[in-house]
Amino acid sequence: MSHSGHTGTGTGTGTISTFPSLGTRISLSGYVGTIRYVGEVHGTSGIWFGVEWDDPSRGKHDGIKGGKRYFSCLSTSAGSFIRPLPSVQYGKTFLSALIDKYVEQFHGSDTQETVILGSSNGAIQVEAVNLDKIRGKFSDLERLREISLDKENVSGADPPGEIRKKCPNVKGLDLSYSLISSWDVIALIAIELPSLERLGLNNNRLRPLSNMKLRTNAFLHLTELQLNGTLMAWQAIVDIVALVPNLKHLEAGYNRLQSLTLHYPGPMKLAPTIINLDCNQLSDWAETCQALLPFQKLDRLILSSNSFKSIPFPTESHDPLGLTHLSLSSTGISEWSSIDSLNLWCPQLESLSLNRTPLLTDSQMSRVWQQIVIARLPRLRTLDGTSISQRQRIDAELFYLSRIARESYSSDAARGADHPRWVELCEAHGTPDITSVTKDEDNKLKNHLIEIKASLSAVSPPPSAPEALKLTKPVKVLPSAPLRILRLKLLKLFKSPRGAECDLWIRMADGNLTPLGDIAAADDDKEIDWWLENGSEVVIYVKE
Amino acid sequence: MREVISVHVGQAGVQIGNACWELYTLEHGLSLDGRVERVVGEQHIGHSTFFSETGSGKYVPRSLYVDLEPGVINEVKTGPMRSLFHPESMITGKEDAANNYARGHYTVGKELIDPTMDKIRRLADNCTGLQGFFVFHSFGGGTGSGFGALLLERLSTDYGKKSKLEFCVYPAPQLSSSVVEPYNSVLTTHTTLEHADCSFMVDNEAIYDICKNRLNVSQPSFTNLNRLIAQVVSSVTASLRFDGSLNVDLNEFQTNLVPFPRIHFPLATYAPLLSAEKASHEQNTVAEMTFACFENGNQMVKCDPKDGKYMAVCLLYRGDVVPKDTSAAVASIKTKRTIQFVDWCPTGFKLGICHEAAAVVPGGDLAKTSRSLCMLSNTTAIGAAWHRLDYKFDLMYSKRAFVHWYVGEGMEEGEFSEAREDLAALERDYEEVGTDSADAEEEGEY
Repeated sequence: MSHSGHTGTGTGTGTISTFPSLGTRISLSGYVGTIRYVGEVHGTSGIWFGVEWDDPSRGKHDGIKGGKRYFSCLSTSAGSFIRPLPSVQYGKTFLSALIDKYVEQFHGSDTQETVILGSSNGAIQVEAVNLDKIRGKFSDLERLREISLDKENVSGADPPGEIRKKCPNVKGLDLSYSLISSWDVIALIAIELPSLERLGLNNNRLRPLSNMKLRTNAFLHLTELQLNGTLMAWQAIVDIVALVPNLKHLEAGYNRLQSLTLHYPGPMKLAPTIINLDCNQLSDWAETCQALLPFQKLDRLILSSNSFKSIPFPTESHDPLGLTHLSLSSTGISEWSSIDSLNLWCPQLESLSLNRTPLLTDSQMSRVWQQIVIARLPRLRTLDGTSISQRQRIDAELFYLSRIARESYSSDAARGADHPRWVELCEAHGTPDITSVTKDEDNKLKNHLIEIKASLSAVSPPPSAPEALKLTKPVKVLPSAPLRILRLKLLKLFKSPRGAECDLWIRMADGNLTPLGDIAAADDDKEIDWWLENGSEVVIYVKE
Repeated sequence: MREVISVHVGQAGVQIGNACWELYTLEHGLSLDGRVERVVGEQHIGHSTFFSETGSGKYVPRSLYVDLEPGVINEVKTGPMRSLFHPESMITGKEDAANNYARGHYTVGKELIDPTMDKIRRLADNCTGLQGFFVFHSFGGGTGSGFGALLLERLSTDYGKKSKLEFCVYPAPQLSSSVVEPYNSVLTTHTTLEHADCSFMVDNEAIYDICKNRLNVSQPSFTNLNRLIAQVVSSVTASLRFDGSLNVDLNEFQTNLVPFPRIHFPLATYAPLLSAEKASHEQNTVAEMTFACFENGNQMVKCDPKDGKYMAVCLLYRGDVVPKDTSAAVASIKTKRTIQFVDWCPTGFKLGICHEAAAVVPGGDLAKTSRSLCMLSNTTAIGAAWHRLDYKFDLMYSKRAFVHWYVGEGMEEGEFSEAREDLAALERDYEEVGTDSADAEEEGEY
């Protein structure tokens, strides 16, 4: 592409007539950047372009060379100097890009079209069936409704009337990753497309609209606008949104937005009903909510992958939002009180996404978090994309009540503070018995075991002096086990053969041994706590 | 005209039907009661393959809902799509199949099969050039497996020359409703193997994992799964409903994808699988979609395509996809392992474009994109799915567990062993077609 290609950009006069003006967008071997400086660099000869690259990893510095600042960049190390090589591309006009992409040479129908599949060692032929029919459809530009010219190096509009003549029926247009440098060009293209409803401008770097005449009627029918990864400030976004009277769906993700504060007051009424702010750096919930108040019809709000840590309860000065769907996936929300406060911030909330928040990944909560969220938000009908049936809701609320009942609170007020719906749920389902139930851990089988001392005697009856017994081992048994089990356990303990006969004695309080159990009296089936308690001593003699 | 009749059997079939018809109406610019809301291209031809037009200009699906119990279909009759379907096109019995193939196929099913065939006859009489049938059913349920098989048998008798394609749901442990699902699956596969011409399997486990891991649904329900299944069904049928470059005829699915009558289970793969909540940031290029379909993770059945060899592949691109991009993407694809084809197959690899983009249901989990790709591949890797099923069958059958429920419905135990043997033969068939005709070449490099 020659230098003359950029003349259609309408970016004003350049500093040096044969070179592009500052702000011109360029593409060099797949990398896209903006010219920030044209001229000499100290210590070298000839003209350099100072470029701020969209992909910061392509750059080397932020505009400082040899201690002198030539230009500045948004991110450090996104800048570098390049020579005005012929391989630098300045892009093409909308229509030439459109024709390059959609009007293809026909293959002709005599032979089958084939392509060799990659990764197949040249062994596999792919038949492309009847693609000329598709080529015919696409090349009929007048009938095209959806077009995408992303990464097609569009940099400028065409003379007025031309675009309208060629493709008047376009409803959806994707101009992401383009070389367009300002909103004026976007408006010049949009004004030519009277049916335009959807416009994608992701990853562009656009200067604000300057042409006042284009302000009023360029985006009249637009309902969907994507501004992801454009690094536009919220102020600039609101300024554009104010020009789109019928906008329904706004996407402004990956824009590094840290706050939605405006520097000067914007309009009090903005049209969008769906706003997607995925992958920004918002952290202040209250401020975000206040900034979104002018979006009076806001219905769905996506705040996933932002930096919110908690949602405070609103104060008197805060107004609630009317939205019905909210996504907080992959945020840092970690407290249950944040869920309760949502009831006040978004009283009409029906659908919520909480995927990948610390609230869920907590190991104790991983199974029950859904019930708790459902119970805490009375109007919720969908959670993480799954709809909640009436029965699930009742189950969840009962479960939640029983959980609260097991926590101990000093007063009803303290419980009410932790669980705002306690009273309401009690009225609906009845107050559960509040018992300070012992923790589950206390009720484990191992806590019921008693430990006894077991000794092996070589003779029968065994000597009563404890020192005379050669082998003594502690053993844990369940007090409810029958004597038969104890016998088996002791035989195993002293590595005697499994079926061996044996006699048992127990040491009484006076230190003497008394035979334990009488097989004839069916004592073997009696539970051992009949005789034994923690610390008892038992002696066993194994018959040969 | 080239009409297609869709028959939805059992709970799974009916609920997938709901998701599919909801999507079809969106894609054809119809409202939920079948009236034209917006004109989509020049697609009046497309309307008539799946919809019939009434005198009042309303479009009615060429569909039939059948279930042995009334619950699920009653929900449709009172739901938001109640005025889309013809009331006559919904048949219910009174007694359910209780997850029992034998009840669906023999005792309870036989009561309902004749009225069902009557209704199908009436739908067929309403067509000028019927191409064939799509039968939607599950493998695991009693009605889906038993009645679905019975229906395919009867369709094969009454409409031998017409194509019979299936969409069947392969059972998954996460969403299992009964322990006998492996029995039902093996029995229905055995019965339908010779009656269906081509079966598209969707594995609930694979769909569940995609919903959970890719679409941010933490606990997917059947609604979430069925919407994704409908998206795939819509892509498969797009070339029948819209004027595209490939497969304008149901027959061509078979000719392209089925090299042997028994090896008729193509694997469906879909891209892009993007969550609706993600801001569209990365470009969804033709090359990326093509790559994704050859790698792991986008398959509708749990299996590793890298383990198998392809016998036939159809790449069905949809939406704003220009021919030169597809050729470039296919030619320059770089997968981690060499793509292998069986060596006896001359060329079974086709690509086609349908330039009407896929719609998505508002409020659904999947992001709307201007381009999408559905790959249908007949690969030996899908043999793994049969192996899993047979293994689970054997675990229970070795002890004859639950068999009495089937015998109690008048089934002979011999049918179990017969079905199991047939499936073993199917597994062997898959192994066999995968072996090279002259296996001299050493296996790959490392």
